[in-house]
Amino acid sequence: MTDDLLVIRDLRKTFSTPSGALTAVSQVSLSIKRGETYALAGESGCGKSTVGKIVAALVKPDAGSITLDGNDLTALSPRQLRPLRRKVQMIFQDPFSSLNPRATVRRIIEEPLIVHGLGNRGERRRKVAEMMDRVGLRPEAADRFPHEFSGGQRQRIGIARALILNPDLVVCDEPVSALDVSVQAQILNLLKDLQRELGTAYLFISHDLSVIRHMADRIAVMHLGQLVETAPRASFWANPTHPYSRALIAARPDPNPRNRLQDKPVLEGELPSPFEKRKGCDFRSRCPLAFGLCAEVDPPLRPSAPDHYAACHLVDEPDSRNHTAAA
Amino acid sequence: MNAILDIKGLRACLRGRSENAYVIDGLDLTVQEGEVVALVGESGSGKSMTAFSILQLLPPAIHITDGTILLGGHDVMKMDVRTLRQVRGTQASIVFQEPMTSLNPLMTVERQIAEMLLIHGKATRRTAPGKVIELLELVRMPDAKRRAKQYPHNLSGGLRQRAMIALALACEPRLLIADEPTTALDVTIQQQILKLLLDLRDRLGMAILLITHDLGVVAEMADRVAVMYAGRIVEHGPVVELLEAPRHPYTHGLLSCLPAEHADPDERLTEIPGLPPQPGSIRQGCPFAPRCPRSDAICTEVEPAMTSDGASHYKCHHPWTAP
Repeated sequence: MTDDLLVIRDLRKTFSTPSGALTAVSQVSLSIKRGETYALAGESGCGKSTVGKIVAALVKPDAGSITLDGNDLTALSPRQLRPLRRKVQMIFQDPFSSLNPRATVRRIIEEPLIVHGLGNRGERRRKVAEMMDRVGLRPEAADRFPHEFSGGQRQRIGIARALILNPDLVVCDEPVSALDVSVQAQILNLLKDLQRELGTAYLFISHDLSVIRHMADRIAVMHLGQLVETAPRASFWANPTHPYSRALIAARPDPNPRNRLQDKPVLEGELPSPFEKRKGCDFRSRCPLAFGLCAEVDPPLRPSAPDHYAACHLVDEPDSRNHTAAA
Repeated sequence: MNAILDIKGLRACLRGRSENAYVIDGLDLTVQEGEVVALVGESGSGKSMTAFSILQLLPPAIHITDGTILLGGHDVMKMDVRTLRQVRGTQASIVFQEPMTSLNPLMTVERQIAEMLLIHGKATRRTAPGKVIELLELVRMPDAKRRAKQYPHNLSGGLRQRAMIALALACEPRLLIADEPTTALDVTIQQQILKLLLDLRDRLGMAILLITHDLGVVAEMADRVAVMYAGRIVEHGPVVELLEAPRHPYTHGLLSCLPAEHADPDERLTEIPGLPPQPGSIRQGCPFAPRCPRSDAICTEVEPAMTSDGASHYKCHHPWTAP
C-alpha cells in the first residue's frame, strides 16, 4: 500500500536483566497509515511501551525493520537518522517527570527547533506562541515553569513540544492515564482536533480500551511481547476474536450500575513468567478455551475477517465464538 | 439499621495556610453495617483525607477543626492513643492504593500478618503461623504456604494487594476502607481483587468504604455512592439512581465525559471546563459554580444546602431534573 507511513516487520527486543533475559517484544509486525490513529492495547509489561520507544528511535531493536516513508530506520547511522527523527515525536504518560523542571515552558517547547537548527530566535518565539495557542495554553504563560501548571496543562505542554516540528507520527504513550476524567476528555478532544488540522498519525499506546474505542482507527492487542490480534475499528469491536481481547473488554469497568461485578466472568490463573522459556500459547494458563494443542504450538496470527487477524488456534472454528459467549 | 460509620459536619484544615484552606469542608457520610459505599472524586477532592481522618491517620499538616466521626458508635476524635490502637484493625482498617509502599519490604508476608495478630491478641506465637495461612487462603492467595515465606518484592502487584487485604482483615474489622485498591493494577487483576472484596463482604459481613475515581468500579461494586468535590459531598444516593439519573451537574459532567459505549467516535467528548478549585480558594457560593454550565448569580453567592426530592440527595440550586 502506498499510504503506509510506518511499516514494522518482525520486531524483536530482549533486555538483559539481573533475573535473566527478558524478551519484551517478539515478532511484532504492523503498519500505520498517514493520518490514522493506531492503538496498541495491553496490560503492564506486555511490551507496548517498548514498541513505542523503538518507533521513536529511543531504543534499538535486536532484530526486525522499521520503515518510515521508505527509509529503514534500523539500517541508518545516528547521523543519517537525525533528520528523520523530526518526523516521529513522542508524548509521555507522566506530565510531571517528562518536562524539565528547571526550564521555562518556552524553552521546553522550542528545544526541538533548536536541536534541529530550525528558525532564528524571533521565528522560534513566534512558533512557540502559535503552538501554545493551538494546544489551549495562554502564550503569556511561556515564561513560567512546569510546576506552576496542573497535570492537564502540563500534558498540553508535552503535546506542544511534540507537535512543533510538524511530525508525521506521534507516539502517545498512555497520554491520559495520569489525568482525572474531566481533564482526560479535554486532552483526548485536543489530540483529535490537532490530528484533524495537521494530519498527524498517532501510535496510541494505552491500557484503557474505552479510550482506545474513542480514539483508534485500528487496534492491536499485545500480550507478553506479541501481537495477539490486529483489526480495524469496526471489525474489532463487532467481533473481538482472541480470547484475551474479549477478556480485556469484559474486565473493563463499565459505568452501568445494572452491570454488576457479581454477574461477570473473571479471568483466573496467573501469567507465565516472562523470563522462562515458554512453549505453546502464552495466554493458555488464563484462557477459558485452552485445549491440548495450545500447550504445544504457539498460534500464529491468522485472518479471521478482512484485514482482521488473531493468534488463536480457535480462529477458524465457526462455533468457537458461541463457545466463548457461554464460557 | 445500624451505622458502623457516621461522620457529621467534618472540617479539616491545612495548617500553615490562611485560615480557610479547608481540605474537608462540612462533610456528612454514613456507612451502614455490611454496606458498600463508594466515595468518588477527582484528585484533590479530599476523598483520601476523609479516609485517613476515620482512623486518625491524617498527615501532621492537616488537623480536624469541627465535626464528629462515630466509628461503631464511639467518637474517634475523643479516643486516647491506646484506644485508637485498639480500634484500628478491629473496628476499621485500610487497604491502600500502592501495596508496595504500604507493606514493610523487610518483613515476610507471614511476619507482617502475624505481628498484627499478636499485637491485637488474636493469636499466640504458636497459633499465629496457622492463622496467617488461613487468612492468605481467605484472600485466595495461590500457593499460600510458599507465599507466606516470601517478601513483598517477590509478589506481583495483584498478589501484594491480596497480602495487603489479608493484613487488613486479620482482626476482623467491621469496616474495610479501601483507598483506590486497584488503581495500580491491570484490568484483569483489578477485576479479581474487586470480586474478592465483594465475596469477603458477603462472607464476613463487613462494610466497605470504597474510595475511587473510577465510575466503572463504582457501578460494579457500590450499594450507595457519595460524590465529593472541593472537600464536600455534593451528591449521594443509591448507585442505580445516582448513575442513571445524576442530579448534580458535577456528577452529570463526570459521567458524560467518559467515552460512551456506542457513541460516534467522531463526536467530541463532553468536557468539564477548567480545573477543580485549590483548597481555600472558594470563599462563598457553590464550589462547582465556576465550571458549571447551569450556574447563575445565586450560585456564586449562596452555597446550596443538601436537599432531596427523590432517592438522591444533592447540593445544587439548579439540579438536573429527575426522570
